[in-house]
Amino acid sequence: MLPLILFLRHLLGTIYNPYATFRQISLPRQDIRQIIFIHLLIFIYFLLTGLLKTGFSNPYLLTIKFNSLYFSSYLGFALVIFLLYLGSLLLRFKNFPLIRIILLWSYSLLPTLFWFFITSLMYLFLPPPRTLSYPGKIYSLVYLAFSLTLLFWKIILYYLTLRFGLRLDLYKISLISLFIIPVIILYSFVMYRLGIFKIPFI
Amino acid sequence: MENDFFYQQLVAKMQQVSIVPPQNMGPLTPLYKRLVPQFKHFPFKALIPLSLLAILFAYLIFGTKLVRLASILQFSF
Repeated sequence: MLPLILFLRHLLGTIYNPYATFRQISLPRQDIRQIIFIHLLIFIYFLLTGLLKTGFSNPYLLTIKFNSLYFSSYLGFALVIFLLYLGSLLLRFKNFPLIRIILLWSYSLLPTLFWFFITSLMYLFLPPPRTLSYPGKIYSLVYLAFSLTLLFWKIILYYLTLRFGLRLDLYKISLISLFIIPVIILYSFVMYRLGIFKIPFI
Repeated sequence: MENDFFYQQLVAKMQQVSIVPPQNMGPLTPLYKRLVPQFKHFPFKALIPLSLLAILFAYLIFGTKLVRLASILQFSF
């Protein structure tokens, strides 16, 4: 029960008070079991999205779709952790706080998960493409504003992961980002070319 | 003093607050200190208006291309 309570508390904290919440999560002796719920939500999301994209009619295709989406998303997760490790080596850190980084980066997946969930739901209720009518334009602008808000939220959580995960200042965060962001762009491009993700699950 | 519950809580809080050194950005530090609190507590109160303004501004520049972008993004989950 405790990990669930911790998860819910930190989930709300990530929305209402991300700075203090990420600082709290980065403290020693945190319960790692709390992130099970985030990864469970990711699993549920890919299960549902696989169904939405391929339907029940072809279980073989459904399995392939689910596997490719699910494993590619965790490839992205592992890539980010590895890049942060390499970044810490570049900055000559002696100990890489792996558990702390996994905890913080898992919470950083919340905006991504939320965007993918809402986009899938809206795909179901108001399928694209959008028209150039007034409602079409208004919906498009609101949807883009929503996406941009979540992107900003993601950037804040990325910053806080580096700030509290590796205890860096803004200057070092900018330096390490110069190394991380091009690799993430390359990963996104490869995922796009492979037809797995148009927007990477990072 | 060491047995006082509130004192211990205060010390724990002070230690927590000081796990990262204060941000120093040279001449930009006052601006940083004014901007950043907006994003520390419920960042959406700043992010939502900022995003709406950015999208309206982008609409003035790119026009209906944004509608196409929204459609592409909606296919991208």
